[in-house]
Amino acid sequence: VKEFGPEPFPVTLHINGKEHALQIEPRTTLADALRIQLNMTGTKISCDRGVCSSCTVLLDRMPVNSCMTLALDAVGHQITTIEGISANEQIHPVQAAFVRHDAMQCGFCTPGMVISCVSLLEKNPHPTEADVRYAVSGNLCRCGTYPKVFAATLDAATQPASKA
Amino acid sequence: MATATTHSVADAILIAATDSSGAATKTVSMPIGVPGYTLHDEQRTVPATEPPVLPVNKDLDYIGKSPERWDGHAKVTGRARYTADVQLPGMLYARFVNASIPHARVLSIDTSAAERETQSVAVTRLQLEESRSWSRGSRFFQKEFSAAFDHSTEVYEALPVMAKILLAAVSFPS
Repeated sequence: VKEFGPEPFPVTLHINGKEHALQIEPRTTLADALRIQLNMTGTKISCDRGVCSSCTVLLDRMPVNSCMTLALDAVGHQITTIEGISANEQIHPVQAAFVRHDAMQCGFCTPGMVISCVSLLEKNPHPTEADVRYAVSGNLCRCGTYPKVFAATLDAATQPASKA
Repeated sequence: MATATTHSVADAILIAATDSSGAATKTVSMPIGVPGYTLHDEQRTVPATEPPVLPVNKDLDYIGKSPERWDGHAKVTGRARYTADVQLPGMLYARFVNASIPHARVLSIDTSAAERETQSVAVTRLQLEESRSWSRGSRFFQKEFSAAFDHSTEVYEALPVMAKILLAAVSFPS
């Protein structure tokens, strides 16, 4: 068993198709590594205890709470953050639908909400509203934008580009 | 913007006149009612300084429409910058330490352990004296104290000196 820490340790994280070399302490969460060290602040931290899912990122295309994931545990996995959802200045159909349906107010939960919905459409291109509800059941939105999130995601599912 | 419709906006001044107070007025034809139901033009006398009549909603750019949220794009892409996203040089973390016994009389505060912390740059203490009037306003506290002491005069003696201790052991982010 290799022991790490408590001093910073050099690792490489694969984020949005790019490799990032950084020094992290073993205790550093993926959310803190992204936000503090890489300044990728699209990933939000609200509760920092795995309750609200605003820090959701994709780990090998699976949504996880990055505040509950140690950065060390993400080594060797493909990490996709909200910055990587809209590649090449082209926003994802789910994001476009969120804007169209105004599925946000303060917008703090929105990156996590978008990632949960993107992940849903990747697994299930033709979801029912119940599927969408289940997919965002971990995402807390205190503005109460859920009905518009459901509508936006169902709308995005009808856009041809979202099935890519 | 405004185009020719069956209910055209007629802002031509028909009659120049003055009202009872002597101020200049004009009589204009303006659309009245609900579009698609009762919309029709009517003549109204208004102050001469009144701006031109607005066209009906369907001829306007924003009124009656649902425009996209101006920062919606930034929010869905994570580019929107919130206070928590701002990192400035020399930012510190603060650790709050509260009194472990609620509603107790604070006799002394020992900050030596926090000061010994090698990474701490500052230790501060904040003592908030609660006023008697505030205490009386809080029936919940009175009840709590009555239950605990079963002696209301002691409760009133204790309340004014209720204090909250705050120790902040501050350290640099890693």
